[in-house]
Amino acid sequence: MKALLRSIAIAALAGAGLTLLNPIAAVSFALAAETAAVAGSHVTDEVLVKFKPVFAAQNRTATVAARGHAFLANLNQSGWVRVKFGARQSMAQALAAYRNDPDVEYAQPNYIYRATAAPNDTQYGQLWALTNIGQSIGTATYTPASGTLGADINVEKAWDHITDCSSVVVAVVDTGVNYTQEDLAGNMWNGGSGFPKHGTDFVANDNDPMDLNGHGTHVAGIIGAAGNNATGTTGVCWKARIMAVRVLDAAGNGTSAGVIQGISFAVSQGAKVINMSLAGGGAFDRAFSDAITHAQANDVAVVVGAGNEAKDNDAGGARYPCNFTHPNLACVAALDQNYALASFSNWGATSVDVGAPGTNILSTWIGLSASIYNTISGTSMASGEVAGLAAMLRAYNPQFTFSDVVNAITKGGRAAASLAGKTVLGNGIDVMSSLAFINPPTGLTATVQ
Amino acid sequence: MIDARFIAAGVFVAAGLSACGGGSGESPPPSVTTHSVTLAWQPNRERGVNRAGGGYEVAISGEPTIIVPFTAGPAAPTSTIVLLDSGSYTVTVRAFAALDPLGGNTGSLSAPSQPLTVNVP
Repeated sequence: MKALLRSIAIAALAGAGLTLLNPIAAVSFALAAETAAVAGSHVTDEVLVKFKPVFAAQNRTATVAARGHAFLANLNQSGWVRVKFGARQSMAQALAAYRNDPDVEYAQPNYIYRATAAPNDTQYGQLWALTNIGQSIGTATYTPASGTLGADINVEKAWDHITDCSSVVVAVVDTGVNYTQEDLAGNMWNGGSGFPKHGTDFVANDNDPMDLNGHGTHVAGIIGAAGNNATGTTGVCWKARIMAVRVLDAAGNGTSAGVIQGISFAVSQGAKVINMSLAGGGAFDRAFSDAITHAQANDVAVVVGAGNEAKDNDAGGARYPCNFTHPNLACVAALDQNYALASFSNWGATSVDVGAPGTNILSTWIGLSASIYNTISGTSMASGEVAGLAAMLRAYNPQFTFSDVVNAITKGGRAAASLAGKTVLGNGIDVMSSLAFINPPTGLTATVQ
Repeated sequence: MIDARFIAAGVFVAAGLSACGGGSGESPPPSVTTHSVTLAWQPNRERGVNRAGGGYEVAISGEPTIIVPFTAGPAAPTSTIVLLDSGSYTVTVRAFAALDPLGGNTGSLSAPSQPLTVNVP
């Protein structure tokens, strides 16, 4: 099949009117595409070769040896053998050598298979947003408390490719973060001697952003609770760098002044994702808008919740920051365990970008014990899922800009019927799909000589 | 096989299509001129495009698709040189990578770039 494709490619390129100056590139593509398609997922110096039935089995070893390769084993299928070709050849060369052999029916890489690993966190089974198997949530506060198989953010497959987002600083601009919580302590931002408690506090105006409410800690855990540590929950990212920026008090209230300072701090300290699970009234807040513009100018993606008033944000009831139109801002609605729009969630066909799980979300919390977790609901939780995805995208694609991140989140999502007409594209987030999303190339030019 | 000397010179007159006159009384066919055209675009920032299994495909109206794969180094090539006969062409570029949206290796393809009209004299 691949050989056929290669022939077609060559023949096509030799067609009238157009010729590659380096047609060898087309030849190498077919092989490169195959070997590349499995890059990292095959044994690097082995191939499997299927000899034709008419080729005597006793001659296989000699044929392999004649190429300078090592015959490793006869497989328990007719004609298949396992061959080691060594370091002097590439996979493409080894495959080509056997495929050009008239005694060989087929040759392929020796692929590697792995069990798709779910993390071993003790409460992972309650995290329906990450893997929905229709489980009932024991600590639910929202009905329904059970859901639909597969109605989740499809993150387990993405974890086969990346779990560590610690190259990206995520600022949680909120009520602070319980940085001593067992699943967060190891994933907090290192603020050095200037900010030894992993952030700062614009409520008490000191450098201790300890959470006295729980909300910010909960969001932080959704983004980056330590994963696969046999403890509690896991975030979208198993490893993260969470910067705690306290702008809301113990009652969950704050002001424009505090939020603006918080954003400015996060940007100046290198955050590339800011989560702001907060909302205000309907008045346009110029100072807040300018702060997000400042974040945009510094290539920072900002993720916010749509609000919890069960309102249409487009219908005369603008909610800021959701209704800001900055290209670096993504606003998130909440979905329930059946991927229906949560009963409390705001929506907006032009102002809300995407949906994500936001009901009965178990995550890290505050308290005297370091082992406290809590289950709550809100678009804040949905925002946390998206901020985690934003961090993962930037960690996986280090050259990504905020624009790439927002595009991959929104356009890489998957359609959710409940979001049709309720968000810009009608999509809920899909982590694996966003990870695979590719932006269209730009800046195409032609020079005729 | 196209003679590299003609390509280097940038202009290639296709053999057999140049005017040759003749005594039949028919008008000679118009000569077809082929030009070397460099197509270039901005690099994509997705990791998968700039590693094994990634690259770009260039679509030119009426012509076979050209694959520009990643081969080595930090990024996939972002240009290609083609020979085009006189005429008007619409060109688009798409990026591809090995990873697919289901987490497998069947590959992903971007949407096309904004189309570019290329007029070859």
